[in-house]
Amino acid sequence: MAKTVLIVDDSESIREVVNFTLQNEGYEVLVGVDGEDALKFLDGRTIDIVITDLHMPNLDGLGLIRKIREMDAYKHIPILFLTTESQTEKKMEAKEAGATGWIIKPFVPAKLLSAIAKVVR
Amino acid sequence: MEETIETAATESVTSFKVGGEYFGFETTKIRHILEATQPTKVPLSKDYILGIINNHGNMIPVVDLRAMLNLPSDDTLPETSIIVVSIDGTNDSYIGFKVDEVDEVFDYTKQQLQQGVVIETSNLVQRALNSTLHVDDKFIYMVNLDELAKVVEE
Amino acid sequence: MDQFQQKFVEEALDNVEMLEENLFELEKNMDNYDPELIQSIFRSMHTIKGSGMMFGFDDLSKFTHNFETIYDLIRNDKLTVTKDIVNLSFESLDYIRKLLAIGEGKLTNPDDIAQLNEFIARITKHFPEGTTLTKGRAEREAEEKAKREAEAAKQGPKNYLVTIEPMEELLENGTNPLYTVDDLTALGEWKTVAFTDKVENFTQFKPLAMRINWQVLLHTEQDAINDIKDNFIFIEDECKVDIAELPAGDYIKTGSDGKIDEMLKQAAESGKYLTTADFEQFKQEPVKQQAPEASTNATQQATSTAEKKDANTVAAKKDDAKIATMRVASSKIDELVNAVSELVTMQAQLNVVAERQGIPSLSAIAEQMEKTTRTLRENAFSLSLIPLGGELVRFQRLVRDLSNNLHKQLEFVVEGGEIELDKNIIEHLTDPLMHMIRNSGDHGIELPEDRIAAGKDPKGIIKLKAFYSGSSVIIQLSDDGKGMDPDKIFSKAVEKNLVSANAKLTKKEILNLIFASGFSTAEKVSDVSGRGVGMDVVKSKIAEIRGEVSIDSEVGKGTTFTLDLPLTLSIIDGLLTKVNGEQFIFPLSNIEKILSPKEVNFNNNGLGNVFIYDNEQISYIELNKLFYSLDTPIDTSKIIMVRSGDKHVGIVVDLIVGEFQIVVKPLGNFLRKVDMISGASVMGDGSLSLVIDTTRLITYNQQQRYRKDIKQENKEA
Repeated sequence: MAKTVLIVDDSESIREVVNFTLQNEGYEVLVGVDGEDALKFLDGRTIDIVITDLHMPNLDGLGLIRKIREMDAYKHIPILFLTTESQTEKKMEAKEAGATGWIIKPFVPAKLLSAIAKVVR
Repeated sequence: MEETIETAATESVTSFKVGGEYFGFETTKIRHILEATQPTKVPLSKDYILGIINNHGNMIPVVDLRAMLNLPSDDTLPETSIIVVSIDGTNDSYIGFKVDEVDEVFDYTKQQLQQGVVIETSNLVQRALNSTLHVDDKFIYMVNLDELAKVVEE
Repeated sequence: MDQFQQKFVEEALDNVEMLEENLFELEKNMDNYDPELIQSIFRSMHTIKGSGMMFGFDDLSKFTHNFETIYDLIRNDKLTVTKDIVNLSFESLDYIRKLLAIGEGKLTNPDDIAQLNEFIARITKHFPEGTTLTKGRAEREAEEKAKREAEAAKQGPKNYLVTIEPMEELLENGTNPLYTVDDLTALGEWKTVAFTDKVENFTQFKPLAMRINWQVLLHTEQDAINDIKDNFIFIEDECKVDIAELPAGDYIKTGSDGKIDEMLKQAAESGKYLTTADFEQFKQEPVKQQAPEASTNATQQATSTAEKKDANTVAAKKDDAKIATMRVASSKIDELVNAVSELVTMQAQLNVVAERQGIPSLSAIAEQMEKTTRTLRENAFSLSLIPLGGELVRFQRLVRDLSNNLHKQLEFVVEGGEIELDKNIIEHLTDPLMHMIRNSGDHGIELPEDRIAAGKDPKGIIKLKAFYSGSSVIIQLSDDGKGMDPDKIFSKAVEKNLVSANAKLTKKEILNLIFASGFSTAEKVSDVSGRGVGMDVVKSKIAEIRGEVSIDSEVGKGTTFTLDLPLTLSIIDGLLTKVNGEQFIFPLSNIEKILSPKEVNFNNNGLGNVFIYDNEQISYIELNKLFYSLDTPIDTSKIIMVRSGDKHVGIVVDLIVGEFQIVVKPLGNFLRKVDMISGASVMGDGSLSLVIDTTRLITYNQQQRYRKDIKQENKEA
């Protein structure tokens, strides 16, 4: 059965390309434009994985990850974050906040899918 | 090289009659041929602009070619038609010409064109006439629509 | 360019615009800025960079990466904001726009590449010493890959024993170590053993505590040490991983008759890890392949049942996943609005038919449909409304550039940026506004020293204020500059033959002369205000969107232009009238009053077309006379009072039919000269009526009168 992915990014083009790739692979996709916006999906429904950008207005990726980890329903779901190279500090911070893993930008669809496959099957 | 291509190509013309003479428009610019209806007059416009008609929601100005040719206006007969052309392909450049009768559509090659036409009396269309076509005993004045449009627009 | 790239460019341009806004903000408060501002700047650049890489805009990413570093340094207090940096940032934005404009985002011309590198060098110059410059990621990856492949190729098949000892908290972050084990086994031939001895018995079982360890025996065709390590990339800090290379040999395919299996089983039971030494004895013995651990299988099955249940819940809740906003191609909205306009026309026709047929059920449907059509119309039109604010950054930028070029101190102040207008109106508005702002900066605001001499603040203010007023939007553009001298304007207008030297004009009328065509073919064309574009063009551009522009100016104090704009273009409420049997429509928004000739006083002491109403002298236009040169008596006519600037003008028509909601269709290129008619509308019965542009009608009438005056005077002279 289809897995549900929540993608959160303030960049519309990234959202579109991720959404497109995932839907083609048969995932159910929910889309949030920033952390604050993403929270509305976290209402108890089943979400198999969250993929979030880190730099976002309103509620950034770290904030979102922390919030998700506070919610009983989503305490332990995999969360991947999007990052660019050279952000080792950020990676550590995100991991500490509770992220499962990361995807390095830029990524080709195959890379995105393999990263997801690392945490959700 | 280009010349050979040019001479080989045929173009399409639509001929029509106004005041006993034959004229031709490039067929590719023609959008509709409509039965003549009474246009809605537009005040303060040129005398030869009969007014506007509604064609599928587009407002199209209608020009009386008889008036442009200094011919007396004639009764609207069943054959009287409005040829709607688009000068540059846009909706804003739609314009209708009222003619006595639409004649036929046929192909010709550039070699058949004869340059330098003079109609005896001076009129508003003259500027747009620079070649003629002689086909089946008909002498057709070819109308350069871009030029004619400029006359109307000025 | 594919659709994603196109989207990226659109979005990046939005980001650039936002960056520009933020830079203005930063420039204003260089010493005392809100840290969030820097964050936001950084974020915008980061998005451009990240997405740029995704969509192949490599040069853009490279550039933005350096640009972004500046703001990364600033937010970490390693660099201070200076005027230099702000200027460089503005320049960078222009450069980013340029990079976005090149098709696939890659520079090919060597000069362009040199320019890029030069620009980057100018940016990196600002980095404090010791800032490490990261290598381009693509570059680095290519290097690594090449190195890896070269190494791997040197060696033949390998055997590894991987020991995985997850920390207890591993599961809490959503990691499933089974996947990691599974991925590991995908690298070659394998056998695994799970050590479950630390798992509590059922009564004390803590499902979230990770207490299973694994050992994986792996056979690969070539060196796989990096691939194995990569596998643990997400969990390297939450797992103790030991990778041991076993002595050469084939332990899996040719392992010794189940001896390996036996050994694995023993290890699992005893809870003792296998070691490299344990494998020495099996070096050459064959082993049959074996199925994966039963326990692994069971777990997987359990998970997949749970999944099925979850999936159903997902399907039920799918409808909740609504997107709050979306981007739509503006051409689609145009199409929608056009279709709705057609519908409004058809609705009017339906009403006429229903009325004629007198069938109650048909009338009822027509009435219902009219309501729906109205709602649809309102919705469709609200879609095409966008806030004025989007354009303001361009103006702000213009003012900034003007200050630099003209050596003046200019400040741009905005009020009412949230006001929404039809996007078609905004599109038509940008150029005239830019032109007026340029004029204000160039001709209005004085040089700082002159301002000081005049007792003013050396800094001049250009202010744009927008607000709703009834069914229109008013935009006022004002400056506190030197203002316009009516005497000078008047003498110039006389010189240009636009007005008779004897004409008695009010100050307002004189000021309005600047809108006359032929007035501002300026003798001195400045660089900034450009050539040939006069205020007459501004006026006609504004009139194209059925707006009005007026001016007020006070010598020494400044000038204010006021634009009165409709909210929307294509559908209006109009008053249908008849003149000489033809139908004319006046936009209701222009009409102040309808009078009968009996209510006014035509006793005008020979002043010409003027009547007196409510103690005001009001000039009037007889459409029969103006349009058809007919002299019809006025007494049975109607007078439509419209406002022109701050004056009233009466327009005399034969009769008034009523109010209608109409769709205005343009008349096209060939009737442009007849500009007092802004379009036509199809009425319910299929007939056409012409829509009057009252402002232009009044202007036309005035011009005719001036012309007559001048002719008259020439004759007399």
